[in-house]
Amino acid sequence: MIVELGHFCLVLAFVLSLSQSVFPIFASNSNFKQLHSITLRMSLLNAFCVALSFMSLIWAFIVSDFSVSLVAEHSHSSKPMIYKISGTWGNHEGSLLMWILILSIFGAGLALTQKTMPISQKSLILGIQGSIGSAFLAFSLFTSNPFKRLSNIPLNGNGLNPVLQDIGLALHPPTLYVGYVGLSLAFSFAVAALLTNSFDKNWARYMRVWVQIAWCALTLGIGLGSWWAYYELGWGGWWFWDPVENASLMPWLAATALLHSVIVVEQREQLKSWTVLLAIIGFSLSLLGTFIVRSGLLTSVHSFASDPTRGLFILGILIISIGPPLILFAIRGPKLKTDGPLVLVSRETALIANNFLLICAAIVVLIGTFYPIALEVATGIKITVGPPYFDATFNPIMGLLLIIIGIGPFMIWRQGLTPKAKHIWTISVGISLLTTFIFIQANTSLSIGALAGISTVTWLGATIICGLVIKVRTLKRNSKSDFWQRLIRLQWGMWVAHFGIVIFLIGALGESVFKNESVARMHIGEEIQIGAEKAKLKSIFTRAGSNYEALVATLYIFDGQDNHIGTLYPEKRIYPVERQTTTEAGIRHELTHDYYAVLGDGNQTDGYTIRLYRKPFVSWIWFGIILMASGAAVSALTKFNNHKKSLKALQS
Amino acid sequence: MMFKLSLIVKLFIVLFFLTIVSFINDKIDISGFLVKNASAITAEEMLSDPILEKRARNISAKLRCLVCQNQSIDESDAELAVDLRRQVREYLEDGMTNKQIFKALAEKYGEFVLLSPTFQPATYLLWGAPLLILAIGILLIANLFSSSKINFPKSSSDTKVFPELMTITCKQNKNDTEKNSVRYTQISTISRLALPVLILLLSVGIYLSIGSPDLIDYSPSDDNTLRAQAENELLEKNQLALKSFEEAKKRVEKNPDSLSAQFMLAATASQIGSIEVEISALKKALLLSEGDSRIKSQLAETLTRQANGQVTKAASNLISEVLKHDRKDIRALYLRGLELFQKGELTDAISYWKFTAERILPNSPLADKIRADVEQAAELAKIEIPNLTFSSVPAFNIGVLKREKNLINVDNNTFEKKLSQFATLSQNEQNQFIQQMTRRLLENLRQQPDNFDGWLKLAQAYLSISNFDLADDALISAINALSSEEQRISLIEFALLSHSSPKSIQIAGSQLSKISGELKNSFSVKFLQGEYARQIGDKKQAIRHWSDILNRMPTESNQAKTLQTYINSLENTSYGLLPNQ
Amino acid sequence: MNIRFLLPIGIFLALVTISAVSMLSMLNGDQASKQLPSPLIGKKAPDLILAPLNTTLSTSQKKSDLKQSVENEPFLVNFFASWCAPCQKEAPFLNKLSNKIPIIGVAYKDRSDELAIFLERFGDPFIKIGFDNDGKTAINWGVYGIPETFLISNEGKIIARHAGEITNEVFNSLFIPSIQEMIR
Repeated sequence: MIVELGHFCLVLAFVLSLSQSVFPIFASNSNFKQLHSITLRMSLLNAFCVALSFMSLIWAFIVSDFSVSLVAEHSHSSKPMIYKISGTWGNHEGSLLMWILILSIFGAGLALTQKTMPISQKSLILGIQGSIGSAFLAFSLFTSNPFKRLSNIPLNGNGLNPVLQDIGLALHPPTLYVGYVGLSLAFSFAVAALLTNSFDKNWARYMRVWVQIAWCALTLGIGLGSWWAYYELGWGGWWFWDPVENASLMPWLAATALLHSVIVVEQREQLKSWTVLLAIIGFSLSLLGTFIVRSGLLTSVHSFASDPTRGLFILGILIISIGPPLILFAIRGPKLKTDGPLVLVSRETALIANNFLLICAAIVVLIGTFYPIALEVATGIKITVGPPYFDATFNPIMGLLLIIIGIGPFMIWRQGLTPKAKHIWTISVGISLLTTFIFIQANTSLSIGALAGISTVTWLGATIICGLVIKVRTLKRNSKSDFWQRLIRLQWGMWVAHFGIVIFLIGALGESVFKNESVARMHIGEEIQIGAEKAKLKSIFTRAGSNYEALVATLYIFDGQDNHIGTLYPEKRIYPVERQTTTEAGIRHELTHDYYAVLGDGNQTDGYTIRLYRKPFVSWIWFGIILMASGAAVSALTKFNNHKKSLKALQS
Repeated sequence: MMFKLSLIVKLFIVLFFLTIVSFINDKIDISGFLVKNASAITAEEMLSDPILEKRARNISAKLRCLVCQNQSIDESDAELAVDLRRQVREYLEDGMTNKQIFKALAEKYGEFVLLSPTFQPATYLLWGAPLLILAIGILLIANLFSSSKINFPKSSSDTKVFPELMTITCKQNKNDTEKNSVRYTQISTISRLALPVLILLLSVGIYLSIGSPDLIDYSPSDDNTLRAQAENELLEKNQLALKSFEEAKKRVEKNPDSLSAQFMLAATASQIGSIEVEISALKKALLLSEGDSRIKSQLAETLTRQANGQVTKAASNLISEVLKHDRKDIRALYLRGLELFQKGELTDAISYWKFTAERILPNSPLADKIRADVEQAAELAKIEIPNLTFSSVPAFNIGVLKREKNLINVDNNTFEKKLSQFATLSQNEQNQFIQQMTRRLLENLRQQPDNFDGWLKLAQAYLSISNFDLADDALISAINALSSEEQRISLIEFALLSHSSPKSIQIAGSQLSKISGELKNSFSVKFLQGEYARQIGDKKQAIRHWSDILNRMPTESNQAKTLQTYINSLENTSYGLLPNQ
Repeated sequence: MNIRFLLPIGIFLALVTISAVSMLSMLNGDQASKQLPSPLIGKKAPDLILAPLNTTLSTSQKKSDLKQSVENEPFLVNFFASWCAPCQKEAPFLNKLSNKIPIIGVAYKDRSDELAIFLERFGDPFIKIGFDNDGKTAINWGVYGIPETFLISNEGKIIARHAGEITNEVFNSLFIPSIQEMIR
């Protein structure tokens, strides 16, 4: 009953999306202006239907209704409840439904908020959302239907890939999808702007909040994914330059550029056509990511069940949803161009440089990812583009961007620098040089790249902190009673996010330059040296998990003075239903470093292969990412608050 | 400048340096090991020279593991990766430069092995792209600057503050809705109704074409109890199998020359999946029975199973021997087909399989296998998939179902209707119907587990749809429901004469040994004992039992004549096969 | 229309075309495209100096060049192992093939006792078998998976290579044309 209700709701949502996408056109070309407000209501109803449908799919997973083909293929009655639920989106069909759900929730979100926006514009944007939604609903209903039933009902299901039986699956895809799909709203804003030929600072102001929300979620989603890979895949890495990772990085780079360029439109009404283009690119890259993950076009360590036919369908959606807007952009884009005056030393220039470098980086990632395919299609030659390529091309571009991050915030709109900017730079260059010098003295074996990284990061950190300190001091000097109010109005979002980058880079540099690794075949009681510390294999025992058997090693860590400082429990798990084994790393997080142990093959007599890492500052990577995301969240929240306040002021 | 900074800044700088110092402390501690213990993949692989080892790690990180999805050989545990790492280290010891090593490996595995592609015509664009993009971008941006003048007229939009703009839009919105709502109500009372109706109708239409409304009242909780039962039964079955395996082992130890003991050991070993024991027991049974064809074909099948589905030479010889005597042995026929298929003689394989299919029922597990195999063979041979004719459903099962109507407990009308149309249904539908009914029968029997006849009927029904394993299970349930010796005899009769699977033969054997007293010498029991001995290939025993009855019978009776022909044929053939009746 | 504004759609179309072509070739199940092409084709075959398996099925310690056992005719080199399932699958075909062309077997990381069982069970199509226990020969031949089969011309050059189970079709479509070309 509930499953069929969910199925019907999905069909209903499809029809609603279709009408939602045609109504605004009718409305603008006829007298039925009321259709605009119907479109708004329809998007609410649409979200409600998809939500109901998604809930009923979750319900089917919870009660293990194996008459639903998807449940039979991806679940098992013995699975713990949390993985039954998260298993709902651990597969193509379910995750597609989640994609659609988030899309419709964003639509409903727009319909409910930003009440000051002209209703005709709002309904047009929702119409575009509706057309994306109906394409994906058609994809879901007609080729990847999650509610397909089996006539021959099996007694139990196939189970879920053990790697996915993890809290990471419960968190990473939903967050990432909010990011991916949030960009659709920016896309719809941009296309609506092209259609109506109007793109001004208000439009940018409305759009910016959504870009911030999407960016925040996308950042968190990528961070969660990398954290998941770090502790689950058992190689100790956190970024592999894998096609699927690149697929999420490209939209992130575009969204970051968009996040900044939309400020230029909002403040100066410049870069209009560029911003529109970025919004389109951002969403098309997120569609491209969906395409890469699901088509099997590129081999990846992360992608789940891929299918070329599905890939072609997504490619079709990509063509019909991105092609026309780009053509529209080619026609209407030039008209949006506003050649305002531009000076070299100005905030605008810094932001243009930021955009330029981010897009360069995105293109480099795109080329690195697609070049092997293109070359094979064109010439039949097979090559690999791996991490060394990206390290050699992406990193220098990002290095340049770091310099812009250190300079840009000290430039002001139109022309000039903030007071004391030059002093700040001098101080931070000094700090940076000093630090680098200390590092060189301490360790001569550091590579040029590592030294460049260290000096840039210290410089950036110093500029941000000095800049903030000086800003607060001048504020205090210039203001009397309203100091705190003015303090709150500082662009905290930006400062927090930028400082997050510094924290992130400390983690990344610490991990890549100073990590330690030891591998040995160990018998019980044997010791292994890692850095200044030692690890001792205390015991190996078996443990019965909820739906698996585990072989667990107990690894004691001792510091230089033989004090016991912690214990690691790396595991090897055997899942009988899925007939797979997984390794679970044993990790001990400390503020300045992680110990990370992986249990390999072995037996009592020959010993067990133990791989042990000491990774300095590795958790700072994710602290930094959280800071970046919270920067965007702070900014978006203040925006919403400001909106509400001014709305109230208007009404009173 | 520095001295003018406030306390906070100074404090910060101190803190900052403290962090760096702690960082460097870390560094100094590690640095010794960085060189000493340059973190090799395994201790065995490591090179003694730390500089070379470091280079080896660097090189490994830039080589792709060819058998993995997207890893370098440095990260991978694959065997090839281990070999390649060793090769890299050997090259290094030979004094090759990094470039030479990359080149040497690329000559063997192609450019694909290099994670960092070399700079060559095919990759000019790849490596040139970043510079090209930077150049184009700088040109485009420079263009922006050249076209701008440095004066800042206050543009009109600058002066408009946001709240003002919002007031305007708010008013507009209000006006719009007010104006239009009037117009709207004037026009469309119909469309107000028509719209939702239209949307609903369309949705219902689409839903009916793709949804499964017939499953609307399906509730998974019914299956939950079934599943729990099935799991329990499986557990019990495994325990039972293990128990009987241990028993059989003991019997063999006690009496290694007993054919029935060896046969039972093979049957129980197959159930617990101990293939080695199964083979050795079958081989011994074969020796003891002096080459019984039934055991031969079973051995051939087991050997094939052991070789992961490859028909081995030994198995092939056995098959030939079996087929020489009995051209209708299902197992041997199927395996011959498989053997031919593996040799690439596809059409011959198909004809053997077709021949097998005629001998079995259409929804037995073997039938599914044959269908898939024939399809694959036809595809490979690029011929049309031939139609397979299977043996048809025996009619007596309809009788079973009719008689057990109360037990099946179904809606009488539909049941009768289906039953009366039974002959007109297609084979597939017939099977489905029987399957459905047996499922119900099973559910109801679970409520009354003492219904011996019911269980036997169920076994019969399973047999008719060639579900041999389930028939075995039903037989076991019937044993538990036994209440009289007559029932025991009819059970043995069924097990030997109707079913005769390895498992049911084993059941018959153990049940026969439980019959005691007067009954033991009755005609029917003696006959069954002879039949049991014959089925496990113990020719002498069979002749002994049957002669025993024959001696007590009037020689002229029809029964006696038949029995005499049985005995004769047993004596004359080296294999325990009866002439066709 | 400004040319700069056409750039995005151009890049987009290029990307879509590449993906579509690649996807379509994937859909057509192009076997050759899934294999890694061997750069050794057309080059002289690497050495095959291995410890051979003699007729009594015990390894003799002395290594010899197995290529010497074939003279002036094309032959196959088959990398296999008793533990690999596709090798068992391709064994019947290799047996049939051994009447037409000499086949040298390279047992990759194998043990002589297990190999003996394998040969007994699945037949022995090889004129000579060598052991490659450190996997070095496999690396020299650019082998990345077991089984792999190479076709060597009578001049000692590798003229074709197939990775994976060798079947009648592969032989007919890949190896026979190579031999014909060689004769011409």
